[in-house]
Amino acid sequence: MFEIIRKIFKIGTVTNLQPLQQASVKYRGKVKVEAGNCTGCGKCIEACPSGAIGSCSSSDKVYLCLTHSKCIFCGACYDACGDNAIQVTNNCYIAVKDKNELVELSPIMLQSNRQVL
Amino acid sequence: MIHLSKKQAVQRLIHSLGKNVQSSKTVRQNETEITVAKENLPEVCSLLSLEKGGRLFTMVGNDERPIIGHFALYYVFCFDKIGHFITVKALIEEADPVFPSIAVRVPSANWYEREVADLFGLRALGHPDRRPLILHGDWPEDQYPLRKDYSGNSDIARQPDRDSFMEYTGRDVTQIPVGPIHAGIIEPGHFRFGSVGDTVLHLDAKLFYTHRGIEKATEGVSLKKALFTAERICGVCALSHAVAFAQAVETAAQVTIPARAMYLRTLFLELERLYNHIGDLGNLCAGFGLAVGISQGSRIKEQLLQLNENLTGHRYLRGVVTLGGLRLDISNKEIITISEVITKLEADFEEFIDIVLSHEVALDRMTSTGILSLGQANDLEVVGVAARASGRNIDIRRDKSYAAYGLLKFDVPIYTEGDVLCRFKVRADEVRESLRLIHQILEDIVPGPVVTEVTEIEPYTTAMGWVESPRGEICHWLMVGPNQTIYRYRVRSAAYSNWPAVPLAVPGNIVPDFPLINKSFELCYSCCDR
Repeated sequence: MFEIIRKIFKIGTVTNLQPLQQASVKYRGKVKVEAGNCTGCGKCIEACPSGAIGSCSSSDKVYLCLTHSKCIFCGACYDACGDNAIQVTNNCYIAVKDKNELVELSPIMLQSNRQVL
Repeated sequence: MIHLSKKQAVQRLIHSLGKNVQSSKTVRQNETEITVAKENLPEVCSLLSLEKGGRLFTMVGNDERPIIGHFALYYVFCFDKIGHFITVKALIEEADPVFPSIAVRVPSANWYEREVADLFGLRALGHPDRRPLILHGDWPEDQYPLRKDYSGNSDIARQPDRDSFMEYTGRDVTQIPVGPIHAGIIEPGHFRFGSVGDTVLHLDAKLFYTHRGIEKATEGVSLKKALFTAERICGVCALSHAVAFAQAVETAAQVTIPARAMYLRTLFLELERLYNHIGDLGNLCAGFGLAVGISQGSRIKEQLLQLNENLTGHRYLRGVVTLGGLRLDISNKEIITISEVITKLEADFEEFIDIVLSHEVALDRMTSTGILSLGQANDLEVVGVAARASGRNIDIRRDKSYAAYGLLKFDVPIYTEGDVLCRFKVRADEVRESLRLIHQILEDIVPGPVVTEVTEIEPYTTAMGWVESPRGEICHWLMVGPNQTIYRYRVRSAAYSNWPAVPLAVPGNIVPDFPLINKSFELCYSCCDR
């Protein structure tokens, strides 16, 4: 009994303050596309195992499209990208109030010779 | 005694099967495949299992009609003593989809054969239990999900439930149904107790409420993408499943991963075992309401989870493994961090175990509760902590070592009583062994690359990968299809081997001890179900 009480007092309070800025450095959070670097090759679409990176067509043109709700944070798109256009940020605060906000249409046009999935 | 070489021993084994063997081929250095007529399955399998000491490692049904026009069954036996696998293959014609059951003589085949009946429509004649296992009673009887002509996207109309539970009747017997939805946050399972007073007379467990169709979903998927699915079979053994899958692919491709990758895989596997075992030891205390035990367990576990996140970016170690090695390396600075955290944790952990094991109520509740005898454990071929607590001396890390386990020193704790206390002590001892292993890895780790290229795999190659997960040995059986995709993927988790043992450990105990017994096995529902 004495041991238990001693242990409880020795440990004290262990709850941490919520880190409100960001998670640890290596944490794989929200995926971000750097439009400037992207060549529209579509390798990330092929690599994505869950269909979170896809294509959307609008007025005869095909654009890169991110559906964040489908993302499993595996980082396969980052590995596949040879142009340094995809960043896996450590942003873990990704909840939204409106579901539509989870679909992100990027201004990047995909190369026409790529198959549209 | 004459010492036989491995090759001679294997030849003797196959020779002892006599004329039953139609053909035999060496698949790879540690695996031989023999083909038998399906009528001879019971004779061959019971000889290998009961007399020759092979344990049923996994059993796989496969629809090979598009390749060779038949269904195929693979019974894989593992011979720990000579370190060899013998796969017994039998072909089954579509027109006559039955085969003689081996479950009466080899009880561990019980679930495998029922599963093949559910998912392929191949019925085991003479099987002692005809109830459906995986699909339950509301699934139409003529739809077999794992046949190749069944589309994974089919919309199947459910029918009225034809399933029957065990019914307990009689004047003094009370029937207590529990679940499938539980008061806690555990996964779904239906438990039906027949009890006299508060002593359990018999327990019937019905699981497989969470069938996700993972094996079907991975068919035709590229090996690279399927790894992410394998990683998500289980929430708490994520890394073990990923490594087992990666090993199966690497074996099929005949690739050896770099030495550093082997050490790092071992390191992360042991970190996974650590956080699981320490968390489970804490949770066990919930079975007898020792709040200080629960909170100390979860506190130490949290430290390990945060260490995992800092090292790999994921608390549960997803995204660490890739085919041919690892996706990330760790720096020398991180090695020092691990060493510091682990050293600090050691003393803390010992204090926690001391508190629990010197507590009278805790000892009283754990001692002689939920006994699983060695005979039962051997018959059902139980694995992992539950096996070692009942005196069944198996550990695939030692018996058929993978990653860097062959280069490291560790002991396998064995207890013989088979009660909750022994399962507690096995976990505590394994934590100490894991700490010892991690210290060795941090000392011995070699520099170098962490990933190598996986070469092209010949279509229809079969291979296996195995890992001692925190819950016990898991086995992934893989047949690669054309274009580096999956043709058939069969996952046998530790929970699949151990669940049939839980209902045997409960009778004779009081109903309030069931949560404690269940926690001492600490099995997953959904990785059993897939």
